[in-house]
Amino acid sequence: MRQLRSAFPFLLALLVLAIPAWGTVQPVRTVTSAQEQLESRILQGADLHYRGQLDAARVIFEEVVVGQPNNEFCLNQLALINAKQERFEVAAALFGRVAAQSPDNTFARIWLGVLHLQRGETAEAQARFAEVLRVDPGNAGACYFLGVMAAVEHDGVSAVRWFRKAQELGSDDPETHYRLAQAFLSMDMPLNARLEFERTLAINPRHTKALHDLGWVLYNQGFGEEAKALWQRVLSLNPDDAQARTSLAKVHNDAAFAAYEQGNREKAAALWKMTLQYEHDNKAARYYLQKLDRQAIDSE
Amino acid sequence: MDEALAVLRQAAGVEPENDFVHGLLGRAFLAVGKNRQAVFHFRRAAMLNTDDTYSRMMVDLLTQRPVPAEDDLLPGEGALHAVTPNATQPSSTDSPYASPGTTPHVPTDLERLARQEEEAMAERLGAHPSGRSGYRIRRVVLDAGHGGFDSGAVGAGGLREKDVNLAVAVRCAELLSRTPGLRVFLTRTADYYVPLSARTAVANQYSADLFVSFHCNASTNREAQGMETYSCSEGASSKEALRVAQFENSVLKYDPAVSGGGGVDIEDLLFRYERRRHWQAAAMTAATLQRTLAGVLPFPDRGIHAADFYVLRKARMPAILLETGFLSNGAEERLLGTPEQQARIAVTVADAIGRLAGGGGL
Ligand SMILES: [Zn+2]
Repeated sequence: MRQLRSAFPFLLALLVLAIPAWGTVQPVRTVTSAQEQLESRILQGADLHYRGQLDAARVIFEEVVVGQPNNEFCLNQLALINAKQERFEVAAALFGRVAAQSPDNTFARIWLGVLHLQRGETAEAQARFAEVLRVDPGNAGACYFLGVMAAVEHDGVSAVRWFRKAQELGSDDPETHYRLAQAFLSMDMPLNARLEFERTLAINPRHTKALHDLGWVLYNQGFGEEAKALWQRVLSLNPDDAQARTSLAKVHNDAAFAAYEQGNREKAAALWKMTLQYEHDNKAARYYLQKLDRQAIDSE
Repeated sequence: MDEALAVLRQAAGVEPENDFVHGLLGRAFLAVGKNRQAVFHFRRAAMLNTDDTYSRMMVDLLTQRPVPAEDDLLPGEGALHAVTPNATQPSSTDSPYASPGTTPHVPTDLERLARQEEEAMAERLGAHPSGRSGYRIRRVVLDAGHGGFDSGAVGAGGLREKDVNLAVAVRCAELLSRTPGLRVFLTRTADYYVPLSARTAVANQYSADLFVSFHCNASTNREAQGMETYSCSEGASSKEALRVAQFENSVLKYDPAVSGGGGVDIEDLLFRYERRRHWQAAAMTAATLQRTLAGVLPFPDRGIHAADFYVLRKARMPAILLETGFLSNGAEERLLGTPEQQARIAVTVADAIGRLAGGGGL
C-alpha cells in the first residue's frame, strides 16, 4: 500500500477511464470525491483480503456491492473471500451472479468449477472448465484444473497433456510444475518427474511437497544421501512436516534393521536413535533399542 | 504517452528488479489500452513487492476475463500467468520467458534422458492407446499387517495373524506381478515389524494407485466369524467398525487436524476433492473385493465398512483393509492356517484387483 498512496489520484483516474470491467463506474474525466471514496474502499478491501484479514475485507465488499450490485470485481472478491471462509454456497451464488451477467468473466467460471469439485460434482466442474476454454482458448487456469481432475483419476496421460498445455499458455506456476511431476510419476517416468520437481523448486525453493517427493524419486534411483538431504531441508523449513519425518524415519529404520540383521549392533543402534529423532513414537526403533540394551546387559 | 512508455521500458530493461518501474509501466500500458502488457508489469511489480496492493489488485481485476494479445509485445510481456522473473530460472528451461540475447539453452544430461524417456513413453502409448475412463490402477502396494514383535491377533490354536497376513500378501503379489502393465510392491517381505507410518510411506514412495492391507480379525465373542472389508472415512460406519479401527490403529497418537488461520486456499479445496474421490474409489474397490471374496470363501459375508484407519487415511491413494476371517473363531483359525485357504484368498484378491486394473469401473 505504501508506494501507492502518492500516485493514487492519477491511478484511479486511469482505472476509471480504462476499465469497463469496473462495472457501473462510468468513464468520466473528473474524479468526484464520491468515486474517490468508493475506489479507496475497494482498494482497502483488496488490501485486507491480500493480508488475510478476511472478515474485515468481507465487510467492506459486502457494503460496496450494495451500492454497486453489478461490480464484477467486487462480487468476485466477495465470493472468493466467502469461499476461503468455507461459506461455499454464498460463494457459489456470488460467482453465479457474475457469470450470469457477464458471458466472458472467466474468473467466476473457473471458481464455479472449483466449487463443483469441492462438492464432488466432477461432470459439472468439467463443463465449467470447458466453458472457460470456449470463451478463452488461452486460459491456462482451466487447463490446470482439467489436469488436476485427470491426475485425481490417476490418468497420467491426460494429466500430462493438460498441465503441458497450461504451461504452453504461459503458466509458469510452481503448482503446475509440481503436479506435472506427479503425473509423470504416475506414468513411471521418474526422469521427467525429477525435471519437473526441479523446475518447481527453481521457482519456489521452499516448496516442501516438491522437496519431499523429489526425495523419493532420488531415493528410488539410488541417491539415498541426496534424498535424506532434501527431507532435512523440508524439516529446516517446517520442523513439523509429517511426511518428511515419516520418510526420514522409514529410511533410517530400514537401514537400522539391515545393520541389525548383519550383526552390526552398534550401527543399528545409532540408526534407530536417529529414527527416534524423526519419529518419537516409532515402535520399531523403541523395541529394538530396548532389545539391544537388554542384550548388552545380558552379555556383561 | 508513447514517449513515456519508451523511457519506462528502457528503465525496466536497465533495472528489471525495480518494482516501482514495473508498477508505472503497468499503469502506462493500461492508460493506452494495452492490457496484456499492463498485466505483465503489474504482476512483476506485485511479485517484487508484496506490499504493492494496487498492482496485485490490477492483475486480479484485468484477468477476470480474457486479455487480448497485442502485437508489439516485448519477449515475455505476452505471458499472462505467473511468470517468475525473480526466481532463478531452472538451468533446464528453454522457456518462452528467456530474455532476448541470452545464449541458447544447452540441454542438461537429465533433460536429454527425460526427453528419451518421453519418446519411449509416446511410442508405448502409440502401441497401446487407452480409451478407458475412470480411476486408473497401475501400481499396487500390498501390506501384510503386523509383523516381528507385533503378532496381531493370535488364535487359541496359536495361529498368529502376522503369519497369515504375510503368506497371503506375498502370494497375492506373486500372482499380480504377472499381470501385464501392473507393478506390485510389498510393505514387508518377511517377519519383521514395520511401523504404520512406514507402510503408507511405501505407498507414497512408489506413487501407488491402490493400497491393500491384509489382516485377520479377532473378537472376545468366540462365535464371531466371517470376512469383511474396510475403506477410510472420517467417521466409523458402525460401532463395530470403530472397534476394529481402534484395534488396528493400536496405540497411535493422531496428528491434530490441519486448520489454517487465513482461510482455505484453492489447493486445500483441491486436496479435499482428491481425498474424497480416493475414498469413493476405495469404497468401490472394497465393495468389489468383498463381493468377490464372499462368493469364493466359505466364511460368512460381513460386508463393507468404513472407519478411520491410520494406514488408510495417511495414504495418498485409495486404500482398503481386508479382515480375512476371525482367528478367535476355532473353525476359521483352523482354515486360515491352511496353505489352501491362504492361496484361495490370495488368488481371489489378485483376480479382483487385476480386473479392476484392466477393466476400469471405479
Ligand atoms: Zn490386524
